[in-house]
Amino acid sequence: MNCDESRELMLDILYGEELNSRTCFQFFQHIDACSECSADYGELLQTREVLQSWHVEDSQATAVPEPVPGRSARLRWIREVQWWPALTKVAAGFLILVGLLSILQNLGYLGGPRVSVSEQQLADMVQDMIVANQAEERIMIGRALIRWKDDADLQRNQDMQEVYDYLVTLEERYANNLEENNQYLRTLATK
Amino acid sequence: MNRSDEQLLALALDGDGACFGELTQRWQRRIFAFVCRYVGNVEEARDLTQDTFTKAYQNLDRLTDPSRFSSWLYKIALNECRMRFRRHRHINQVALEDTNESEAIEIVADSSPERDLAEKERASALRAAFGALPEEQRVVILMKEYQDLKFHEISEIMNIPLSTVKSRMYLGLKTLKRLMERRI
Repeated sequence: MNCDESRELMLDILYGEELNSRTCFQFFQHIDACSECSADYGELLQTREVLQSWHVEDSQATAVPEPVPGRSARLRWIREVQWWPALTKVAAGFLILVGLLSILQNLGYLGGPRVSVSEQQLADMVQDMIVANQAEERIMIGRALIRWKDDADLQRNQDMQEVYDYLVTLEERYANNLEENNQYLRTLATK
Repeated sequence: MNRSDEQLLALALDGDGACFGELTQRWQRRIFAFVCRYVGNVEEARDLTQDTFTKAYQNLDRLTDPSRFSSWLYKIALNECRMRFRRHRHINQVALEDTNESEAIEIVADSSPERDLAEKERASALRAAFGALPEEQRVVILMKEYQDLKFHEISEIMNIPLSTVKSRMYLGLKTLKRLMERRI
């Protein structure tokens, strides 16, 4: 046995964990031969000795109340439960129950008047739904067209404004050039 | 008739509160001793022991393997201790380092006055050194040294590998020795 193996076993030996006798023998053989492991083991033994002198007066472990006889552990939560969250859960459960009952009644499972729909009525309802959808689609398309027209108008106005500004600039430049030319001609004439 | 933990548990789950009372009687001293050494204060330990058993009773139906009742109980006790320690961080250090003679944690001493004094000094050093150990090492030492649990049981209770339990134990004992030498 080498030192690493000895250290691995040290605590098991120290606390009498289950080991076979051969392993124990090899361990102590190593301890006899190795001063380092022997010192290590001795230190642990000494520490254990000190620890074992620490006693707790466990007779003071009283006042642990026993549970009330005859009451099931499974039912004890009822006494421990906090009431407000429990109440909200009960209320939610009640509402769900009422909803379910109402659905069942509408379907005729609870003896009330069952709502029956004929084939013609069903066809009418589907027709109405299709018409309603078509109307909605038309409205949506109309709105999209109006938006597109507004956008186009806006764009056209912007373009026209740009062209107008450009023409104004050209006119101003032309007027300036004309004035400069006139001045030049006047200068030549006076010479 | 001496019934096993499993038998008592089965009856307690069927609503027999007296059976849980018997389990409480059987385990309360050991749990108290563990908790008392952990928190170092009798009143706290008594409260925590009570809390441990109350919690165990409330959650009995969650115990999947009745043969592991004691491990489960230690787990609850350890959780209670840690929760209490988080709430009142001062308790542990103060109590373990307190040298007040009225404390329940005591070192058994012989009658000779010199020996008494030496033992008291040693006790004080032990408490102080123990209180200075990292919590995870302290718990492993408490469980092994004073509760006589197997290493694999400690590993199960603390939910850590066996090798970690042993390394914490080894380091804990070594550190304790060093700390005590410094204090004596």
